[in-house]
Amino acid sequence: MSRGHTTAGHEYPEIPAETLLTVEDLRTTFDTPRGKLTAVDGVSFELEAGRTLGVVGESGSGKTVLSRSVMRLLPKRGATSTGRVRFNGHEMVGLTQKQLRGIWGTELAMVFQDPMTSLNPTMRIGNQITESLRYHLGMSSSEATEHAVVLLSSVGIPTPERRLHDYPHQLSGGLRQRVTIAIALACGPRLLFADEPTTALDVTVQAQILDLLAAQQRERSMAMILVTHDLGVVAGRTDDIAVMYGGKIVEQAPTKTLFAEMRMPYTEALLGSIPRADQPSHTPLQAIPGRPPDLVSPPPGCRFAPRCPYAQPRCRHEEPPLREAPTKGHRFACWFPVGTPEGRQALEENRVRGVALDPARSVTT
Amino acid sequence: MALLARRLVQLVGVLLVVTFFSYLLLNLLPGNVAVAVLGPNATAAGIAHVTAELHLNQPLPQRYIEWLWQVLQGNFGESYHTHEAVSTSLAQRLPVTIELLVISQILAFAFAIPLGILAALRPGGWLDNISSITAFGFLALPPYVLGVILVLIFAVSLHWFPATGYTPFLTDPGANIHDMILPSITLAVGSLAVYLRVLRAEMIATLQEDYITMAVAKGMPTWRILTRHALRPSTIALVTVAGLNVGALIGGAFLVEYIFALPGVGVLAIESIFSKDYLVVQGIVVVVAVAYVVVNFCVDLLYLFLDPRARGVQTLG
Ligand SMILES: Nc1ncnc2c1ncn2[C@@H]1O[C@H](COP(=O)(O)OP(=O)(O)OP(=O)(O)O)[C@@H](O)[C@H]1O
Ligand code: SF4
Ligand SMILES: [Mg+2]
Repeated sequence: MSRGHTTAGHEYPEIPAETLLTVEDLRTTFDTPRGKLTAVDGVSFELEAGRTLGVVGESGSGKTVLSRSVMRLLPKRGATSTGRVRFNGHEMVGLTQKQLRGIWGTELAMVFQDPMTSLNPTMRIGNQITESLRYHLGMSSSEATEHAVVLLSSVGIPTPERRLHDYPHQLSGGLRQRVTIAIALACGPRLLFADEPTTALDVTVQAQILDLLAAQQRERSMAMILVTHDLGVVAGRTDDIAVMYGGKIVEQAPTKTLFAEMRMPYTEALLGSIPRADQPSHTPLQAIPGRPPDLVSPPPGCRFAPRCPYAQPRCRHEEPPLREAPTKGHRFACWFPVGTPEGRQALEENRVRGVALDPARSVTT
Repeated sequence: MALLARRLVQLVGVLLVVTFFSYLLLNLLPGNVAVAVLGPNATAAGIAHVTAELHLNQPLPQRYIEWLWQVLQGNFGESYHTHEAVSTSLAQRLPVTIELLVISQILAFAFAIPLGILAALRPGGWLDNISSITAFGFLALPPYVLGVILVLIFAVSLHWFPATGYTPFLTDPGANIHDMILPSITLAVGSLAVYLRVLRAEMIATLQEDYITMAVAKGMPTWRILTRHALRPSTIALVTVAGLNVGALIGGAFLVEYIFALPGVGVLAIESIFSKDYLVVQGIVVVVAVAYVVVNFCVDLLYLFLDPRARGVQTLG
């Protein structure tokens, strides 16, 4: 199967796509001993049915909290989440646990980061799959088992009948992640969150799992939000990419546009931190120099300013709004965007002053 | 199955060690064993008789083996006071003690498991606070104090239960259970408090696990998550604690028997110690030690059931 007919929406604009998910001004805070920590800070985006959004950002940028806030899967205590989340006709904010249980699993599902910890070690694989089928779809035990076999083989697990009786520890990491995908897909969700679904896996297995997710997503015309800290992962696999920094979306664009015409210096820096083919596969990823912002008391102005090679005095006291780029479906938040005359000038000034380095270059040295 | 065989061999080894030390106990008494057994009024003839019967002039390992051979046939010797076979007294007394232990543990688990689950569901909630405070209170209260309090309230004032006494189960099951209620509660409360605390802590930790969040994200209802997903992984520590608790529990049972005048092994032990009836004491020590080892063996087997990872790569059954 070719990836040719993927879905970049502007290729067939004649079909008006149905908006599956609308997030408006989503804000999630945690009470911590140090004060209120704002993990997701006014995020808005839309996702159409059957499409894939990549959410990219460093560790701690709020990707997981964003996914869980959209799913309304936050800790009961100490977390406050406001804004609007409209999913598949449901106004998600304000729903009770009981109402959410009618949506979780059936319309909205999640694949977790680490298959070593996300499967119950004391339950057989089969039961972990069939329980949703029986509970949500009212299948009998034998129907559910039959369906579980079909699911397991559709996610590429050999001898699925035998695997049903296994416990998670008897499976390799890659197989376990296939099982969690089967569990997530069991009741035919319309939106799948995959939160770093391959970070815990071997490099060779990573691509297989991502391909599996893409294939299932297409086959079921299910929408997917693929969370990762690695731009390389989302490169060929998503329709759109949202880049997160310090709890905010700082740039969002169709995937091709983002790679071709990125505006945010942070996106550029992330690209610089993609592991390269010429490096041995397990060299630890070179992070962007500097540290992410403190989310309890974020700095004024642009949150990336302390680490930004383009930063100018204006950046340190005035926060750039998320604004539209000339390219279609592209928004970004930056005063001195990459690839613009202002940006080039800012970078040049800094270079002359010796303030900062081009992050892409500082990574390789 | 190979695993099971290995465990069984281990069990036999431990049992040999334990019985050897139980046997050694008698031989560590100061002075001549025969004199110790017979007491200060021993006659020369009596000493000669006992020496012959207990093989006292043979080397220790040989004596142990002969003794063990007898014990395996149910022969623990006879009391030098009542001249009753030790095995006969044990057979009379053991059912009382076992009944007390079993009922108290059933009570302890029957309350600890649901309370522990509910307390963990809302840590810091009213149920958690009440059960925590009560548990700590009971932990601070030794069984002899609690027993006396229960007797004062429910037997002396309210006359709901007898203060002391025992009806054999086969004579009158209803009366037997009725007699056992206060003693069992007295013994259960300490275990209940410990089990509740352990299960609560384990459940709280388990509920933080990814696989619980995953179950929530599957839309499973809370009761199902608690009972089907969280309970089993959380009971592993509970089972460990229950196994370690067996020793203290047997001691507690002896005390409770004494308070409520139940004709169990504990009362027999106390009587025999005071009358220096050492063969009876030895018989009791052997039985208690073997019971302790066997219960902990069963606990090990229970792990295999509760935690599939402990079973190694191959599956059982
Ligand atoms: N339950 C919580 N209580 C307090 N702070 C939290 C909680 N969960 C997350 N945070 C904070 O929210 C911020 C965003 O965390 P999040 O897990 O969303 O990051 P992430 O982008 O998913 O990172 P990673 O790549 O490491 O998974 C972090 O600073 C984190 O410390
Ligand atoms: S140039 Fe200024 S506004 Fe743009 S990312 Fe850098 S610091 Fe932020
Ligand atoms: Mg995360």
